[in-house]
Amino acid sequence: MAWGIIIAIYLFLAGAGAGSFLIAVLTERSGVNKDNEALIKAGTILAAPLVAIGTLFLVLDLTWVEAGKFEPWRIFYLYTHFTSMITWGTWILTLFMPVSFIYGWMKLKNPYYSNNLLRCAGAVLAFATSVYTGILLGVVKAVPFWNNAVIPVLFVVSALVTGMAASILGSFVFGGKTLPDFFKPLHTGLAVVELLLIFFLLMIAVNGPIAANQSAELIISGKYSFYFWGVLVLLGIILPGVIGATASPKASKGVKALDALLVLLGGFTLRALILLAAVPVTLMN
Amino acid sequence: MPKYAMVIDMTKCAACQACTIACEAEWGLPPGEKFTRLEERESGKFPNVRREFLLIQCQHCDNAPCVEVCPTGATYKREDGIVLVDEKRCAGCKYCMVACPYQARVINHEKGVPEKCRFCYHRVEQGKKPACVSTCIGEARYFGDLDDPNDEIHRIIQQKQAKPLRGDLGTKPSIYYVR
Repeated sequence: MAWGIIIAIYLFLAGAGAGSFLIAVLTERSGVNKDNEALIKAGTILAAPLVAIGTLFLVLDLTWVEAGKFEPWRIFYLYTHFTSMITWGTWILTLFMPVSFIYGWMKLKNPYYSNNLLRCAGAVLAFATSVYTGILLGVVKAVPFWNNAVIPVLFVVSALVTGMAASILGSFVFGGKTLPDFFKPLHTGLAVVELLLIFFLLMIAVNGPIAANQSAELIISGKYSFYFWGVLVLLGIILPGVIGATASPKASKGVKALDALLVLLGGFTLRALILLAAVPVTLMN
Repeated sequence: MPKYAMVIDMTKCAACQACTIACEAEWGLPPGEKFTRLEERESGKFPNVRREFLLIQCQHCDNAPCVEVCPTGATYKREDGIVLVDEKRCAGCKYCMVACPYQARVINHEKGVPEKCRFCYHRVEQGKKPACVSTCIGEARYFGDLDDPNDEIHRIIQQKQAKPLRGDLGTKPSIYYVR
């Protein structure tokens, strides 16, 4: 298919950026205090750079860039055609990056800063960022493996999971020591929901059209099975899920950082697998 | 206004791929870039085996997924049914390549644009047939105007029961296949 690893990197970074903003806002709503201010700072300020780096990959994948041409004005045409999810995505990214950057910047200077308008707009745009990438693939009838409603939900969950991991790692940089109490059940809950959604996605594919079947086979038993079972399911979801569920709140930063890194590895693997396993509809039926 | 359509009769196709070459020559395509490709499939078990061929190119769909997903409007459908790409407007996102069920698009690495069959609109406007149609030795390809009730294409579609490829997808292609 035309979209490969570069687009997977974008999907992963945009998801992690949007998710870290949502997690930070969620934490903020539970009440800002000395213990969670580093996390709120990290989650809000990380969003814009993560999405921006992802967008850079998106630009690198444009065919005229690949062809070695410098014609940046072409990007502006992307805003014009609203039957395309990419036009919606372009608007969402254009609005989310400055809004999250301003909010993150204010939070960085003063974690107790509050602005309902910025926070709500940021949260809505963060959700939009994470969900549009799923709809982008979900509407593609040519790829039966994608053409369902599970993908957008799975992408939102994956965004929250990776966003949580990114904001935890970021909080350590800002001198954070403990994590909010609700992170433990949220972490485990999201891991369970993510596993279930992946299971549903594959179930639908196995029982779907030939092309969807082939996609599922590539993932479950074919050339991507090691990355699926080994890297995504075991290292990326189950292991961090178990660490998160059993580790005491006072566990060392090392354990928590390892947990977060594994989650990020899983998040990237998920996006890459979904893109790489795309098989177009069969024509010779 | 004409409404162009094509019939490809796979029962007459010798799989010589002269159409692919004629098309490449007509448009001066770089090596490796083809607007029409030949897919093949073997089925059955020895000694009852069957080898099938299928010529695939842009189907100039009336309900074209590439037109819908194009974020810039670079891909558009003309009133005569031909789907074209405005190279100057294309941002190169490749969503059209992803969304085309027929996988009819190929990247032109020199221009940096995903391209495809143009139904030889420049020849058609002069009253000529597309290059792939004129070159076909077995006369497996027929090009016509669905809006002209006297055009032979109506008789051919009906007589040979030509059907679009994966009509179930709702893309409403302008190419009809005899298989």
